[in-house]
Formats: sequence, structure tokens, C-alpha cells
Amino acid sequence: MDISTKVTWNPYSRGYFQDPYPHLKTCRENNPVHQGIHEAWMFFKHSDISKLLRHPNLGVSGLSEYLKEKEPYIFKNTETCPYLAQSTQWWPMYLNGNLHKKIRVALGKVFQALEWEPVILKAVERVNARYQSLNKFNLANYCADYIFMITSEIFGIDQYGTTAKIKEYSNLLARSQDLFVSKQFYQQINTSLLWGKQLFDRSAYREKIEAALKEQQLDYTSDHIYSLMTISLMATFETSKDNLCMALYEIIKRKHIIHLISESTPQQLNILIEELFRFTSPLQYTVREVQSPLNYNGISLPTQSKLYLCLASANRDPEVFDRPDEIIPDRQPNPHLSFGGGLHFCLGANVARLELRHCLQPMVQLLKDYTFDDHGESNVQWAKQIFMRNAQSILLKRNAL
Amino acid sequence: MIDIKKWLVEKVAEETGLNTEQISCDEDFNNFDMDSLSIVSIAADLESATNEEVDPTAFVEYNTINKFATWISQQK
Repeated sequence: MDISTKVTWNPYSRGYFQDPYPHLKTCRENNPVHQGIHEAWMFFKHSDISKLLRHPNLGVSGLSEYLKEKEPYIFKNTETCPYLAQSTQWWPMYLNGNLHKKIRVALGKVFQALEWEPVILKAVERVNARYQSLNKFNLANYCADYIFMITSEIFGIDQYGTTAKIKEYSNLLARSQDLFVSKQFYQQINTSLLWGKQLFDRSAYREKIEAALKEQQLDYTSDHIYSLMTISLMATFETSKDNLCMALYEIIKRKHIIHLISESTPQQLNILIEELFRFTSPLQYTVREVQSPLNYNGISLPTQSKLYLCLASANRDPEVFDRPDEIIPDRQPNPHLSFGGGLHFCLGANVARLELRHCLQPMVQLLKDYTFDDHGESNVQWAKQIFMRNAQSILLKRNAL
Repeated sequence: MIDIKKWLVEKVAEETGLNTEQISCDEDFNNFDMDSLSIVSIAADLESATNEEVDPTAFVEYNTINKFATWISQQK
């Protein structure tokens, strides 16, 4: 096939936001390495992506630096105080080298020392109590409420602002990393970041972070601390709720899995949870930047080239996963890349696992009595997000008796 | 309904700091001195102005004001 007739990755191709997998499959099968519509290099195969995630010549690209460069354009002719670059400056997934190592150690220690389990158990009980009497509800809200109960207690933020405003704040933080973001939208994110500056004033988590930074002998300002608070909140709330929502959506479509979850041993449940992470891939892409000139499989990649690694596609690669478009509850081994890999492996992976481990059985106990409302599963409203896939609305109704 | 061509000329002029008379409707968007975020931001403004979804990547295929305006009119 002539290269010019090959498919080009484009997240605005028809139906992508509803279901990106057909387009990703076409890219993986027909043009697994190419320059996408935005002209950056795209990778779709598991074999390439798992290698590139650990490649010594690759680092992560700097979000804060990018935003710093764009701020004069974004805020031209406005009175706004630019705060995008400053508040993202210590997001560890965009840092390299020693600073990245130290911040990762500091955050990792604090995360590990937190008492997640009792908070999670209490949240499952509370969210089910809140929803069990409803005949209709939005699955996305149900998941967001559960994760918000955990997040707000862990970070001590439930005394400030409204839940809706904090949820919006978290979503805007997530979308600051997306592709095709307009200046108008960056301005909205900036406003939200300025609003959130008091969010963590009474947070015990903040004190723990400061202690951990001192232990790492890192000099910091209040903006650095805020940067770490924003990423902790966004990573804990946004990705967890999206992951859970996608997982439950897929489970509701498959009644046999509901039954299987109810009957599962803890070990069987853990294996199924990994399969759900693979299948739903809430973080669909991750980006790496070439740090010194690189020749990869005959492609010359100059310094600073950006490589978009499609984790969602890698997780459906038939060269690695038998029947990749099916949920196979006892799939083992399961080398999915939903948490990335290498030095930037997701710091919150174990928390995400713990949240699912404790909620799946009680949640399916409630959800087994519900089905999709109105026009069934086609009635889902998908967010127009490329990097982090999620649904804004999945309406459920109680089954008729 | 807005005149898309006229609207785009004004937007590109605003983004480049040029006068509307200096904007050629057959010039590739890439050849205007605009920020890399400009096209996405123009697409967002166009969405607000028309209340219709606008695909920012369409500016790659329909890469001049004339081509884009023709394409948009054919979508209706």
C-alpha cells in the first residue's frame, strides 16, 4: 500500500469519542508507526510501546514549560494573572531526572502512609446507601461520588467549595494535558486553578507532603506545594472515577460478569480487575520526548521529537492478547500498559487497585438490579477527551419487578 | 447565519495582527504568522458563533479560508 493512502490517526474521525477502538485498530493494523494529524509520531503496537516506555533516550515532555511558552498568547489582551505553568511545575509525570526521582519518592511515601482502606470501605457503604433507593441515576455520578468521598477525606477538602465545583476543577486539571486545547479553554482552566488555591489550606495531606519534601531536601515554595496538591487530587479523583465508570459500564453490559464478581474469591477478583484495567484503559495515551537523536526502526527522530504512545491500542493488540476485544475474567498473564511503564509508572496504581478491590462486589450487588435507561447503551454521553476517556452520562434505571 | 468566509478573514486578521485586506483567502493557514494554538482557538470561537461542532483537524485538510468556508457550507 502506498504510504499516502494509509490511515492517519485523527481523534476527530467519525465516532471516535463514542468508541475509539475501531480507529485505533485500523491504525495499529495498517499504519502502526506514523505521524498523526497533529504531525507528531504515533505508536500503536504493544511491542513498540512497551519498549519505548523504558527507552533510555526518551524522557517525558514538560507540560509546565509548554504552558509557560504559550501563556503570552493565551492571556494576550486580558487582565488575568497567568497561573498555568506555575501550578503544573511539579507534576511528576512531566518531570525528568533527579527532581522527578525526589518528588516521586516524596509523593510515594505519603501515599503509602495514608490510611486508604477504612476510608474506601466507608465510602462504598455511603455511596450505596445514597443510591439504593433511586429508580434512575447516572452511573458517572455514582462513580464520581464514591471516589469523591475517598478523595475529599484523604485530602481534607470537603470543608471548602461545593462538590460540583471541585469535580469541575479536577476535570479541568485533567484536560489541561489534552490535545487540541483552545486558548479560551486554557483561560477557563487558569481561572479554576486560581480559585483552587485555598482548597488545601486546612489539609493534613499538605503537611505530610511538606514533611516528605523536607526529608528529600527539596527547596520549595507555596506554589510548588500547590502544584503537588493539584496533581494528587486530579490523579486520585479523575482517573479513578473514569476507570471505575468505564469498568462498571462494561460489566453492566455483561450479566455473566456480574454473577462472576459476586462469586469471586479475592484472588479471582484481582485477576479480573487487571483485565478491566486493560480493557478500559482510562489513560489512553502517554507522551515521550526524544532527549538525544534517536534512530528507531529506521525512523530518524531528532531531539525534542514528541512520541505519542497509544496505551489503549497496545492493550488491544492481538499479538499480545488473545481475543483482545473481549473481557476474559481469568486472563493471565496480563501485561497491560494501563499504568504506563518504566520510571514514570503510575504512582497511584495500587490505590486504584484497592478502590476496585473493595467496591466491585458491593457495587454489582446494587447494579444487578439496573439496566441502561431510554435507548440503552447508545444513549451514553461521551466526553470529548482524547487522553483520558470518560463518559459524562450513563443513565441507568431499575429493572421492572 | 454568519458569513463564514468573512468571519474567518476577521479572525485570522485578529490572530495575525494584519488588516483584513492583507488576508488572502487562498493562503495556507500554516503560512500565516499565527501561534500553534490559533487554529484550535479559532475553531472554538467558530463553534460558539455557529452553535455547531467544529472539528479543529478539518483545518488541516481544508487548509485555506476558501476551502474551509466551502467545506463548511457543504456540511449543511
